[in-house]
Amino acid sequence: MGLNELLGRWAVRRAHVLVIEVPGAAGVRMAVERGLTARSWVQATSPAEADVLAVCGSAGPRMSVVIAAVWDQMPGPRTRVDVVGSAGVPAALNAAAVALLDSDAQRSDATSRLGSWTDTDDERDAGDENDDDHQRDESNGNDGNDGNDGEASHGDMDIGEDHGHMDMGEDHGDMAMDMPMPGGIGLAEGGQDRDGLEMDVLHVPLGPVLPHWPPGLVLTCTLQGDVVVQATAEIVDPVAGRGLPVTGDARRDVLVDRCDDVARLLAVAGWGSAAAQARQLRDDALDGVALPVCAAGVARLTRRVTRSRVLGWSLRGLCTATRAPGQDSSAAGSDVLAVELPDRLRGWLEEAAAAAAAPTGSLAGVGLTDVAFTDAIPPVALPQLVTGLDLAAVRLIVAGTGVVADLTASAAGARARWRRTW
Amino acid sequence: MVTVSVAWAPLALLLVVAAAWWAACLDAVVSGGRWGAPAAEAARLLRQRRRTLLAADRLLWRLGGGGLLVAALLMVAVIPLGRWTLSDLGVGVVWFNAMDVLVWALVWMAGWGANSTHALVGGYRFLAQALAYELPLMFALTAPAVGAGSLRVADVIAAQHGLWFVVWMPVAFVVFCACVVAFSVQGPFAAAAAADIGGGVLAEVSGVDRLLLLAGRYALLAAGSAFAVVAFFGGGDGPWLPDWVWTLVKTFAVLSVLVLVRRRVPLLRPDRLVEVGWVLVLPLTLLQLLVVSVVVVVR
Repeated sequence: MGLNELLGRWAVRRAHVLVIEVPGAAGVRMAVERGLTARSWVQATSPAEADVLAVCGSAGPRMSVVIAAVWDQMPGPRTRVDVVGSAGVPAALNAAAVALLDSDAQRSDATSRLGSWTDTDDERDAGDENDDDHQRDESNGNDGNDGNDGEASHGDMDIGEDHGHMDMGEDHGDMAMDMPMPGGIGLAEGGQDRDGLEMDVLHVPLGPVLPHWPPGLVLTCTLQGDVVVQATAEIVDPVAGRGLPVTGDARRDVLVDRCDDVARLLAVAGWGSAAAQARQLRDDALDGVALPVCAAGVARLTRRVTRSRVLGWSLRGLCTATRAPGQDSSAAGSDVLAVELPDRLRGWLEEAAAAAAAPTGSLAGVGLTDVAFTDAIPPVALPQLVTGLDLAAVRLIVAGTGVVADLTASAAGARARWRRTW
Repeated sequence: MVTVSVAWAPLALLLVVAAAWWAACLDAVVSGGRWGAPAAEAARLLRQRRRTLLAADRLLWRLGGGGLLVAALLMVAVIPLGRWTLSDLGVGVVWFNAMDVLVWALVWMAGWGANSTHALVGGYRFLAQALAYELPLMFALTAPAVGAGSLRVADVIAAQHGLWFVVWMPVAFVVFCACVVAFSVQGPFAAAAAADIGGGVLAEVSGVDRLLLLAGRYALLAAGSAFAVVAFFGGGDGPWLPDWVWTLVKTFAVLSVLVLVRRRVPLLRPDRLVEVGWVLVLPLTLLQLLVVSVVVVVR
């Protein structure tokens, strides 16, 4: 076995997967996350980190453009899998592992990208390209000798070489382009910050591909330093419904949804082990673990979360909005309440506990909203919540908002109502 | 204390990498993974291509990424292994402190160089965090130096014969350990590399650059643990076993505890950390220093 093959075999034991949830594919995303945990694979936080791009659900036209850009930023060896149903997850991940080890395909992928970039590269990058080609030739010469498995092209896959240039345009597309600069990037404009000091202004879209982020949400921020001074929000390719997994038991549905919300907020708050615990609870509920056992798990997580003074200290003072209980978006004059994030987290855990403890049948008796679209916050409500805060706070607030969705059915009406209320 | 030839430096590097490896393995296991996870991760990153970004400040970017491992090695240079040391500097404690300040620049450069918003925000975050932890760290380091009446690491170790500093400088020890986690950008102090900004300073690095950054973080944790051993646990002081074994055993023990404890704490937000660092931790550390100073004068 050659060195390349050995490295490859080890590498796919811990492939990093960038999971992109298309709006309306929450269940598929959960299934993919479970598949990753089962394989000890890791969820990537950025395209640069990822080996596998897992697209959950069928992407709409705008989302497809974004996904193509993300795909272009992945360094390689890389592979893309499209998962449209939860049942297809194991097969898709297997296919990804096979594709990552397919040296021929990876090599031709790398070569095709090399060609597409050399035409447009500026002088400096072209210089680097030559340099890299030289290095690659050397490494191929060495690797070619260990090909004792009879595979002619084995060892030719260029490993660890630098010919990416994959990020053009993506990070810089929104900067001011009025002044030509090396690399074609304009200088950032200046502007007065909240203290009246002159500071650079950057226009940065957050999402739709960001870890622990509502599906399809794009929050276009005007940043000074890491403070959001202005923002607009929209959902890319909105659909009706979230595509949550259906367990056939309303109590489990609520449990799954709330645990998922809790896991997302804890992950953004930077508490990985507690977030994993919440995700495990969600998966247990999906697996049909007895509800009393789930209830005990929720109680354990609740104790852990409420005991953490650091978490309370991190979340304190950050507010998100929620609808008044029992109201849904189609009801006229639905009330909007401000909720502090620690209360929001506790509320979710209480609802999960109540769902796990509820008697068989309807949830109406325990005062739970169901997990459809009714508690969704329209994207137009987000900018007011996040303006003037730094990125860390913005991320926490968005994670604490729960469902952000374009209420397609009555989008215009909902927007008008939100404007009035705010 | 015997100053050994600089030819032993590779062995020091090997020990640092071994300790970093141990920390990574332990981290993987307690996170529900396998012992082999760091090996698989290293293989993955060796196989992955490096990344070039448009108009990246390549020199600073690569320096920042590779520098962490170098900073860790430079820290270890003044830490004796038993009775052998690479460098018996008269100002060893200050040297260690200077190297941890170097980490400010390195993490910032890693964030700046990529020419990407998320990475840059990661860099900002580290500076905000560094502002919060650096002064407490300096005063926590001052306590053993005052206790020993010397800035030479060998003297600090010698002064602990009979009574380790951790016994009468517990606050300084705890603060120092927290600061070690902080300058290694780990656990609750990993805001500069957090998922909410797509990995921050890690957002744009791939392949071997990423491997160096990740290894550098663990190496810093290991070097910090080793310094905690010489500053608070008497270095190679201990019965039965040779002194160099004791140094290693204690270092691995402190390192393991740091890895296990940091998982229990959520991320500390850098923008709120400065207040805690300066209003709460700094006075506590100064109080500890006052106690140490009074003891030294009276004794």
